Amino acid sequence: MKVSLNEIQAMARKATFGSGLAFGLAEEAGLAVRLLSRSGLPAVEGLAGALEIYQRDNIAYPPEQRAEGGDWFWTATDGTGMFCPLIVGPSLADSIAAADETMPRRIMVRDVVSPMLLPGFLAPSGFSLRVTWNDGTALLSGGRIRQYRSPAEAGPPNDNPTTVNIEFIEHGAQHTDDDIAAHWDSAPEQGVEVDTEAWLRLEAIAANILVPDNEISRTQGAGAGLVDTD
Amino acid sequence: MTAILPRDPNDVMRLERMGAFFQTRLSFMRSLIRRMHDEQWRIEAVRSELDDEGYGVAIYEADAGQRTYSLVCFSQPISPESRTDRVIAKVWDATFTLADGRPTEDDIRRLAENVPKQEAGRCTAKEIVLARANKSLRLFDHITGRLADGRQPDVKVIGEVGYLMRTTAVYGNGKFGLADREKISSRSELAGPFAAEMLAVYLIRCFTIDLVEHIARRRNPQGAVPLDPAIKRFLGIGNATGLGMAPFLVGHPILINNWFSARERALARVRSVERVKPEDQERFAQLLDRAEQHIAEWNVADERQMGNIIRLRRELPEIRAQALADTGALNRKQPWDTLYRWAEAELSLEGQELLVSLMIEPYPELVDDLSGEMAANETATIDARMSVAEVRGHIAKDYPWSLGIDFSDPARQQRFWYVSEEKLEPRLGERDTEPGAGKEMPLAIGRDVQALDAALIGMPGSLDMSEFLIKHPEFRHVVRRVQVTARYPYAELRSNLVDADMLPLDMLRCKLSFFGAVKFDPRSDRWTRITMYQGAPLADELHEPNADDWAFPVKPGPPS
Repeated sequence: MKVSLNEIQAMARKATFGSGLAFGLAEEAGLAVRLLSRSGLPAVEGLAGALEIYQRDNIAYPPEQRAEGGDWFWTATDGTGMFCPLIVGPSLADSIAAADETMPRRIMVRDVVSPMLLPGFLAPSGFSLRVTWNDGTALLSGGRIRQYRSPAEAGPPNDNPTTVNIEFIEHGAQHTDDDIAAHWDSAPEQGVEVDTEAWLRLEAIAANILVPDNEISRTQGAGAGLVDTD
Repeated sequence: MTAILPRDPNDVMRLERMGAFFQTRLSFMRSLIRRMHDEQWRIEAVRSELDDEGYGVAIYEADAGQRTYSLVCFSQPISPESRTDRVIAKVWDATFTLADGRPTEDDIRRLAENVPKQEAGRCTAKEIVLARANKSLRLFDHITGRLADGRQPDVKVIGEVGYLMRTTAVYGNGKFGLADREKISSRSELAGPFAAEMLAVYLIRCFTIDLVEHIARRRNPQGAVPLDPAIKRFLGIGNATGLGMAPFLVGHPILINNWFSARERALARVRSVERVKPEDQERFAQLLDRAEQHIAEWNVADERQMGNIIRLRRELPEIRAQALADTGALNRKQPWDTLYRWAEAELSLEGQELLVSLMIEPYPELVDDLSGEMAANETATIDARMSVAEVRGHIAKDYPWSLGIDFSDPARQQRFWYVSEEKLEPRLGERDTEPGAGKEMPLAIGRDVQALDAALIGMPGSLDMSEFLIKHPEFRHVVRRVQVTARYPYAELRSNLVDADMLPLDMLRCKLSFFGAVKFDPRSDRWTRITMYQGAPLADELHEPNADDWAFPVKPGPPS
């Protein structure tokens, strides 16, 4: 089915919130999935997979960070031993933005599920980054996803936790909201094709934020009558 | 010369004041009509395949110079009991889409399958806006009957309603498969917030007026008469609006900032004028006359609003005396500032805001450029380097209103906002008596900011947000809001949106005033009807020199 970027962003936000993750994380998931989808990537499928694993395994937080020889190593500290990209993605972006002079050469994040989503969180940092996992690679700069290659794209998201490497191609790149906005100002002319089955899975998770009707809410909650014949 | 600063956001962004707003010349309908005038747009009915009862398909084209936009209208019979303004409706008298360019015959067939279904159908990126409207039966029947009898309708009856159809939803920005806003946001002819939606509504107005004339002609081909142009001009388009606007205002902080900022800077520029030119004073006096009649013709059933209107009617002569007397404010230095300061001390909030609208109106050269600054890029990433001390500083500066609220008092969070399972309608519930508070929408910003501040108290002041949020992702949305508000002072509604005394109507009116709506007609504390484009030039009048002069529309006199 074909949907608009706005529908993708809204669905990603609602489904992430509906999965039980914090609203601020849901807002960022919406932006990341939109950005990935804008770049032609199957992020709707990736998100559905990530949220289902998050709900199944109740992945917790926070990570343990260790610095060694100019590299950072992030390890999950909860019982699952896994990272959810929807939680670790925003934190990685924050840590990169806040690093300044202590900027690492490389960040190695162990055991990430659905790693294909991570570039969507990291691209807005504005840094030039190479993100690699298993057989996937993404080159990011200027707020955009410049290249993306993952032979597994066409298949279902891999829920085997994977180590993700984030390398800084050049230091000193600036994060600007305008860069990202300029990229977004060119929406696709004909909408984005998404996998209907994955879309329905997101819809089911998003339904968790809906409140079932009762007579009070139906007649009074919206503050208007049920018939307007005037 | 002393430049007057824009008003304090702590005052402007309170719900009570927002709920007293009126349209201004920066409102989106006003800007669009000016653009259509300046750019010599042409609007034409290019297809009218309607039967004797007005059911069928019609298409209106707006030629905007570089591009053409087409409103495709579908009109159908529906049963009276299915006619509801609520989003729970399943059928409507008329449904519409604004298409990009000229739709092909295949497109029209596809749209005929989908547009009448509204949310249950699908659009494509070839379409920009999806809308629907229901007839105001009493006015529709009155006008078609009179015209078919060869008579003009009774202006008094028209004044009681003001429109032939009432829109119940106008969707854009990618909803239901429509084109994303980004597809059109760089087009100069649709620049500015909601420009495409405002264009669609203007074209819907054209359709409704043609529709009554068409039905009257079919009913009595020999004897029917066309509507008097003055009456046509007084016919706007109605709208019924509910709670959906409240989450919108909270969810688009940068956009909202830009709306308010433009309006407040416009007011500050006018208040900074050193001397009033005679022609500006004359213009203000004319507008005051018209506003008095407009307010005199504004009658609603809602007691609270009617009370406000009655007070306004008393205050308008006071404004006149204060402004225009020989020793009045307008004959003094910084006349508008003098007048505004008097109003602030003496008038109701509606009186003050009506004056704001009236003061801005005579100064197109001073303020109209600001309408180009009301759109927004809403990307706001968190500044992860900001320290705990800085965040707390911003909270202290921008959220004193929230820090003072005692949320242990149940009344301070008596309400909760939620989305109903039925047709995804936003609703407001009572926390103690209704189920669903566990699925609350994050609109209790005051409460959340207070909780953030409490969480930050025990943290080292130098700790940055990347470290804080890694342990507390539950505060991400609040930290983002605090940071956005630090950069954009009008981004936040500075009232408690879950308070027992909160009036949702205030948010609705505020947003609708930015659209350019008039005649707010509350149907409850969370639902209002309004009128759009009342008094606006008709399609064949857009090129007349006074096309922009339609603020505060008044009933036409008897036809000449």
